[in-house]
Amino acid sequence: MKVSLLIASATLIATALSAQHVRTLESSRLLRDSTPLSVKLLLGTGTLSVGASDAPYLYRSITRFGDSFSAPTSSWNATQHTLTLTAGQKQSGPSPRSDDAPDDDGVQDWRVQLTRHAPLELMIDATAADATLDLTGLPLRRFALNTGAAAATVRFDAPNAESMSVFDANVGAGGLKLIGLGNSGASEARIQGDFGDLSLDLGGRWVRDMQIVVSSSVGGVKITAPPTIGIELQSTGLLARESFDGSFTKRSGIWRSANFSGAAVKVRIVVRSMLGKIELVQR
Amino acid sequence: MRIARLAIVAALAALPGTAFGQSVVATPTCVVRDLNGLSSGNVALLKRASLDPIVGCAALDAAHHVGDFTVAARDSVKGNVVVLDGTLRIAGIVTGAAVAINGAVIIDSSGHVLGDVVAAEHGAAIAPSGRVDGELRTLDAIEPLPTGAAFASATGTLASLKRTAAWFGILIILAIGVLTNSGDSMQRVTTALNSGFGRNVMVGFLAQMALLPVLVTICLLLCLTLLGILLVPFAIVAYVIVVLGLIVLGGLGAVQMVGKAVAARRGGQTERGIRLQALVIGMLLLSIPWLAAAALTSSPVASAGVRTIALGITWIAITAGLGAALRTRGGTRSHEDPWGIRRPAPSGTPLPVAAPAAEWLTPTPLTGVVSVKRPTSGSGSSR
Repeated sequence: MKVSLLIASATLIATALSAQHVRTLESSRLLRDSTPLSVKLLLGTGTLSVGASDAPYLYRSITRFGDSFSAPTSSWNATQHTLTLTAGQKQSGPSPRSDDAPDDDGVQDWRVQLTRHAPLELMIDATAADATLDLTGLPLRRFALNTGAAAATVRFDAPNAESMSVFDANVGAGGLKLIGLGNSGASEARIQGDFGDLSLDLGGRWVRDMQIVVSSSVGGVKITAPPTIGIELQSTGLLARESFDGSFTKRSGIWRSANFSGAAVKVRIVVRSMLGKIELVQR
Repeated sequence: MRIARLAIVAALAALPGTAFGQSVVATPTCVVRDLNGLSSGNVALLKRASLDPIVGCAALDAAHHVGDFTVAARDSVKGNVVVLDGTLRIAGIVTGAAVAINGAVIIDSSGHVLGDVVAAEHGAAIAPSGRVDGELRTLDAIEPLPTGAAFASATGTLASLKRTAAWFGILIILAIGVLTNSGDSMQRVTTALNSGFGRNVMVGFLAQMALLPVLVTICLLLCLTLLGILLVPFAIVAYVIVVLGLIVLGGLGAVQMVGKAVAARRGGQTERGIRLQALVIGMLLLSIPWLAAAALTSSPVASAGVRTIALGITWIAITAGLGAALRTRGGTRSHEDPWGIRRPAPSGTPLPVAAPAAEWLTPTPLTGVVSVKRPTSGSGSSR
């Protein structure tokens, strides 16, 4: 017993000796003009939050990272107007540290602010990072999100100043919460989830019709729509159950809201779900 | 159940990391401008900053200034400019990067930096019409990398020792887990190791050589049928788990054997206590070469030499252990009877005779042999 206690103590000491500390890096680039640009944000693990900024910067990135991560990097091509910001990668090698530095776990919190003053094509690849994306105020022409095993929240609280061609979200196992899709100004939305719930709030100011394709392997799909838009829903699923809250009628296998024919904005939704509940609420 | 234990053991053994805490750090090669006039502390700080990827080689390849420095409105600095322990104010033009270490960077309205602006610990400020063509980076501290050869070697040595100690702790926990769940299996492996170390090494070596061919053969055989093709990924995973489990079981058996060879046996200890003691001592003994290699980190050649020796010793222990684990069928059989079948004795060998009952085992007195007549079924004399 004594030996076991000694061993446990030694292990704890060894673990404590290996404790890490955290640094903060802020990087930014001045905005030179309003030429459209393509932005890629790449993150392996940690947390990511994205927002808009009125400051005279093209971008502003604040990363708080433990020394088990490599330093974040950025790549800017002034000719092609492409920007790639990469958060630190988890490194397995030694992580030098000063012994008087404050101890902390290996963390990586990344906050990115993008300019409101240049049209953007934004692609985010967050493999295993929880992502909170407030796209309010960003002039987005195209948006793509890829996540692996982490939850993502995307919101548009104000109308997009640009016309978006495609809103593309491919979430793996963490699920997606989408708020205010009506404000995105997208003509097409493609949302794919492997495992986890997909929650789509179609609120916002609608200016054009939209085609939404939702694919879900395992997990529920909940769609909440305001009463001002016409909804058409076609669902296919192996073991999926449907649930409707609102005034809907079914014709030729397609559900339509009562106001569909007269609605100024029509949203056509196709849901392909293998296993899970498909819920449509219009209030 | 045993497979599950093996799987846990194998999964633990497959934890990512460098070989027993050893690792190598690569450092970039920078162009170094004139560092004359700088104190050794500042030179060390610049070297440290150059290793920080956020600052980079600009720290060394630059015009260096200690304390506040200003690039006047009509001045131009060709290349990088670095300020240590002060504020770098730029009203003119800098064609390279502007770096302040332990200081701030201020770009006036007439200032123009064609490269990056980096400020460690005190931030950067840009006037509304100041221009920076590159990226602005501010960080709260330079990465705590070594600042000189002595500091580097001390830090590296300490880090290596810590990692080795941490691995020692992990392996001890692993050993306790195996001892608790598969103590008897480990004991059989240890017994088999004691019975013929060279033979176990040979079996283990042959097994290592056969690992890949056996896996390929299994996959090929599975591919012969449609169902088998579907099972190939599972077979590969299962095979890897079983092999790792055998390696861990055998390796710990070897550790236990080494520990038992040197451990002092005290009275009153339980069998499990003896085994645990042997494991800890064996682990300590086998860790000594690795600790020595870690302690010699400052001397790369000596460290590499000792590390090679440590690797060799560890490999031999694992190979012998693997051989013993295979000979005992994963510790489920005795190495003398691995198939669980009692073989017929060769011709001419006397059949085993049952030992006499305990009451007839008379101790031999020092003064002579006492003759005791064995009772027979009949009574009275034989004649």
